[in-house]
Amino acid sequence: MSLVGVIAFYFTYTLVLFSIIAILYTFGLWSRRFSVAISIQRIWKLGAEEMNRLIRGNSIDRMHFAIVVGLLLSIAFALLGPALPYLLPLLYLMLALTLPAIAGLLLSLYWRLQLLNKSDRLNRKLNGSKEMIFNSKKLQVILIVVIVFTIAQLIVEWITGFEWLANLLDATKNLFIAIYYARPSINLIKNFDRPITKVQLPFELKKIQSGEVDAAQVKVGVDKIGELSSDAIASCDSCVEIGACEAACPATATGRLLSPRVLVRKVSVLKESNGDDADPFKEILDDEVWSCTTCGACVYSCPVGVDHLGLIYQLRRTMVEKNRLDQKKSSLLMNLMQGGNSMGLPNYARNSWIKDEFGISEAREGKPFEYLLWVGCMPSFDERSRESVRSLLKIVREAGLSDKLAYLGDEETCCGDPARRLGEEGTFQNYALTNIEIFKKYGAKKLVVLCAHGYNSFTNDYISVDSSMKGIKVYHESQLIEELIEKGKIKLKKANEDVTIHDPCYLARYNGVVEPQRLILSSASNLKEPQQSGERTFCCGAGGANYWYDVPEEKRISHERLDQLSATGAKVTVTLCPFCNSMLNDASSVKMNGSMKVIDLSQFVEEHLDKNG
Amino acid sequence: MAKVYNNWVYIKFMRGLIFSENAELGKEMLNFLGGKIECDVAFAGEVGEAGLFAAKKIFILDSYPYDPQPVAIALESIATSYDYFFVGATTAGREVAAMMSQDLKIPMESEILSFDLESGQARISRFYYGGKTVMEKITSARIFTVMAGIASPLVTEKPYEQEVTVVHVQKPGINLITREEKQKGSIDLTRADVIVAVGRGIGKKEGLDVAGKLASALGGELAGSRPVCSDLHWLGEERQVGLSGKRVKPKIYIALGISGQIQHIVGMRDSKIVIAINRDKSAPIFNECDYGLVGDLYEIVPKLVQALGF
Repeated sequence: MSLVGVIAFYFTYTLVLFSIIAILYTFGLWSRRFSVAISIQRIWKLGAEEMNRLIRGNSIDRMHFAIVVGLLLSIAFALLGPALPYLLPLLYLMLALTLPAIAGLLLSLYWRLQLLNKSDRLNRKLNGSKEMIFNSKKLQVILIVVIVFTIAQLIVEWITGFEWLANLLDATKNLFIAIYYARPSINLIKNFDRPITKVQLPFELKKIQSGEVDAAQVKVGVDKIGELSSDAIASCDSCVEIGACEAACPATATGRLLSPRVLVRKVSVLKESNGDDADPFKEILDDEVWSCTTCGACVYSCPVGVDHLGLIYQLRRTMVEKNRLDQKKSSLLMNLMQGGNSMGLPNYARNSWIKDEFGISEAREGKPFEYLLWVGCMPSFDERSRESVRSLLKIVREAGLSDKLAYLGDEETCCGDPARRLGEEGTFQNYALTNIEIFKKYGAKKLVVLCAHGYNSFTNDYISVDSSMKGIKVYHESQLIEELIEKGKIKLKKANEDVTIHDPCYLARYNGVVEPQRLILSSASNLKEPQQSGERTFCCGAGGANYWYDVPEEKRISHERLDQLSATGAKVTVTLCPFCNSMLNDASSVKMNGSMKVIDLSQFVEEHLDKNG
Repeated sequence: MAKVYNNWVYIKFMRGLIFSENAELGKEMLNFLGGKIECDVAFAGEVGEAGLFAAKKIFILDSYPYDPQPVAIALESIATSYDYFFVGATTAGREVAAMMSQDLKIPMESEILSFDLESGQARISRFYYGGKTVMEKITSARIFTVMAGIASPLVTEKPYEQEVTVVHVQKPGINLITREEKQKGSIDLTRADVIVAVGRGIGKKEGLDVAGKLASALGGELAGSRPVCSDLHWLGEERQVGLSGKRVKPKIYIALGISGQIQHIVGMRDSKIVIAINRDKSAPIFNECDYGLVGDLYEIVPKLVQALGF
């Protein structure tokens, strides 16, 4: 190497070292600001989680992974540069690794260039301010620059004599990382294992009722951006316009006025340009907030741990607090507050048919029971939905468990989920406290639900209100049926029939319940998985209280989902939630003249019971 | 109310004042309160109308502005000789009653269904839980708003001997500048007497014409279920009946090709007479109707229209 070459190499190598120090410095800075302790264990856990995602993941996850590998590889090349000629096996290994990394990076680049256009259209459609649109472009271009520099560096590493150029590329890219990507990285390290089910409580009703907390001191909703929770603000500021949320969002996919990316960026840019006193609704549209079905796909797919849902709940609470509700939403709240159920029908004798048809006793009759059946509001009032309960009760009878089951009758009200999702936290907590009292009164140890929302409420939401709920085991019907099969209480016969499955977001993505339904279905039919299934399921359109109201859209979410399900070729869809069932049933009757049969898991199992076995 | 003074029983008869800007409602209240409490009447209108009220004392407000505040003040000026006040529960009446309650520091109960005096206190009943139950209570309130239509108007046959006083109403703080008619074409299903509703079961958009003919033959409005309005957009959202649409209570509700999902049932349950036509005899709508016809609506409806003489 000539002297000039040596000087050039070491000069640029120094730049690399400086740029790495800059990265370490900004990482340290943000970890202090976010008060995150970065430990080896935490990073190891994160790595394991990322690998896990990669295995189950989709193309966006793989692209994201390629970028991370490319970046780590490029930094390793630059840092180990002077030593590499003496470590030939390592050099060859690293060179070999560059090939898949470059391929992945090129794909990401292609995706990002497409997105640049698409996201711009969305920004304008959703009324993004000039600053927001400019900032959005800027961050996306920076990401593209980082990808291009990384690709260039990895290519240059193959050419001897141009190490200085590789170093220069690396140092520049590292500076971008230090400036723009330290914060999101720390946010990820802090939040990657935060469960989607976690909802921030603006107050604890129990403490207000007991006088421990003064009700006058409780503030619900936000008038100013600065009043958002620090987690929500950190989330919004950590967004770097990757667009994974947008790609996963059912509202964006059906042309509703919502992109989770635009929403968090609006908050971040508004805070930056107008300060903490800015009114968040200066730029956020009401229907942007109402378009969300709280399916959690955005939070699940975000590579940097942004909590879009946490922000949406805070905005919804604000709108409820200010009564910015149309008649549909306010009548839902009215029904919940006055009638004891979401349907606005008299609660009296809502489930008396269970006793009439199955002879199962109500809890208040005092007969000992093992399982308490929570019928839920849909099956209590909707004739078609009742079929799923009838089927479940027939299965229970077949298993010889009818005597061990009881239900609440008129004491059953609402689980509170629609209230919480709409942003009426007080009504939710009121229901939760009342129901917990009822469970305690009857000494319930096992609850059985058919609805994914009830399942999530009892499993997660109620524990945050009263930790004694931890002592109650909640069974979704799929889990109960699986247990009955496992214990040999019921047997299924295999049919040669193609069946597809629609996982409810609140069951699969929120609570990771994906196995029982698959074991059941594949043991009795040919299960055809739709493209988005399991934890990556696509919403039916009813969640987040959307069952009770409508927002402007280009296509129904349920129709989009039905298209995905019918693409499997199956003519039967099995659902695990009465709301999904109702949405997809409607979609099937409108779009496919009812040729897609939509049934509940319990109905499927009842049809396939092997009564001679 | 009976009070004991020096071993003498002194009986004071309670007197009430009825006010409604709507003469018809005033007469209804007179009938409603007849035999329970003796009432005088205040109303806004012509002196000649006074004779129509079966009351001994009549107050006539010399004007009736858009602003409830001066109306309340005018009524307060004659309030001293009365123990109970009954105000017609119209949009303006509710405001007037609330302002009187505030100014006179007298508790108020709204929209009462019944009234009785019981040992010096009022026993009233009113709808509760959005009309699902009736609550009865003994109350210290002395101002009430009274729902329209709870009694027939009291008609006077012979002219009443009356003391008529004109009460001056001050200049209002709020003036009505202009009135604008509601945009034509906007429909209000909640006020329709007859509704013909179509569901996904009509099969094709042309089915709307068939249903529309029935609706116009009956002088009713056309409505639809969620699939018809939100999914297929065959009808506008303002015509959607159900949980995520309008809640209607017509005298006659005809459901064509509606299966009867709870989403829809919730919106039409309060209808007086429900007639369902559906091909599927297991459709849940048949549990909700008074008259059910199992059959093809394309055969039945034209015959109905014909029978109605169209």
